[in-house]
Amino acid sequence: MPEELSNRALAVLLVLTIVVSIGGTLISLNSMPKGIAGYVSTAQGTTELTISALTEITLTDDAVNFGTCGLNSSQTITYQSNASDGESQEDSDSTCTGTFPDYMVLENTGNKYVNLTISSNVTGATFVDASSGEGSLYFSASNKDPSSCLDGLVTTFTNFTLAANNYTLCNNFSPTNTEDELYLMYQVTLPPDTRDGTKTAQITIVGEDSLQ
Amino acid sequence: MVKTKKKSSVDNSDTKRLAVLIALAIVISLAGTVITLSSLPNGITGFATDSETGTAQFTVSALTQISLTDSTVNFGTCTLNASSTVVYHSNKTNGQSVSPSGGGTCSGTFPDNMTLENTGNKYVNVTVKSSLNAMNFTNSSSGTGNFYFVGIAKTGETSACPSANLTTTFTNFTLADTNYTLCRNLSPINTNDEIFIAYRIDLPPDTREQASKSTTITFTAEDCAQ
Repeated sequence: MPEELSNRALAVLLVLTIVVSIGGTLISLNSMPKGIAGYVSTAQGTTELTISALTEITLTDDAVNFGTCGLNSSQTITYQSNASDGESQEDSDSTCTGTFPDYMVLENTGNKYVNLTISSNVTGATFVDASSGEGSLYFSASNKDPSSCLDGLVTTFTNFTLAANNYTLCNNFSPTNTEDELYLMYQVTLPPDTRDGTKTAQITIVGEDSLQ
Repeated sequence: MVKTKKKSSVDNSDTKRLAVLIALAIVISLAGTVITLSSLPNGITGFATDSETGTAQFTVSALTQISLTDSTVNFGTCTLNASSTVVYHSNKTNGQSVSPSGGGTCSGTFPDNMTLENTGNKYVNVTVKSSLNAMNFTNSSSGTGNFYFVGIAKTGETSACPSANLTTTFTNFTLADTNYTLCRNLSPINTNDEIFIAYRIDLPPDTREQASKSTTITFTAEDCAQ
């Protein structure tokens, strides 16, 4: 007798499970703003367009080249790629031969707001490669289009003290077509004992969907 | 016996009903999940990412450069000893470059060293030469005077040229315009790139009187392998 009661109870529970499952499905479907595509009545003549989410950033200018830079024999010298004097010179004694200002340009070519980080494959000191181990590589950014970066844009030069480490560049980088570009600029500090040679750092920028 | 059979039959019937209901519940649940997921435009999505890569680059030219930040040593007016050769060191700390053997002084301010700095970005080997040989520089009637150089580590920059690579004993300029090794691997590291050069003169009693005696000292630096 107790077994018969148990089976009935189980049957009730199963029925309840089916009801809950069907109910949950209906609630899920009803909560979708446009219901299920393909279920729209053809009698209404509705045309539906579905746009997929696209998280995409593009470096439309992906290189900054300071050219050949002079040193100062008695002190560390600083060069900025965004210098507007045409020579990136912070010091009257020396110059770099590149064409300045020289920026990277980053565009949000997707349709999602994204958070941006930036990393270098080498540390600033390794990049500069001075005998003393001094020397640094910095990054900074500015809005090319107004309001491209809604929050947290790093506008002061920040040193790549660590290699392959993601530094915050911008929060909520806009996909709005007229407000979706940033400038990225770099600063190098070169001590007198910077070794000769061409130094290259690979800069990686990662965009990740943000909540906005 | 009959009663037992009847009970068993009821049990089997209930079990079958339950099995059907369970199967139905599973099918409905799966169907609901599939329908829900397939109706999402992009399926299940998390925080999508994208990345881009660029390069930052600069070039520095090799620079082999040394500078004499103090390019003069002046003994001043030196006295002689009538009976013996007197020796003066420019790096003396007694303020007078008094001859170790006594007998005379020079009026210069001592210690008086030249300071040589590696102002380039390359390690270099450094040689030193004098436009006059020692005998001609001291200019004594007997021709026995000497003129020496020595390299000295600068306080705080002792790694600029390790002692094993630095000429740390007084070496006579026996030949004019001849390069003598001063330092191997003089460092370009900004905080360790300077050395002192000091001089010694041996003046015999017959050193000729002159208004002043001077010689041009030339340092040459050449890139080294390091």
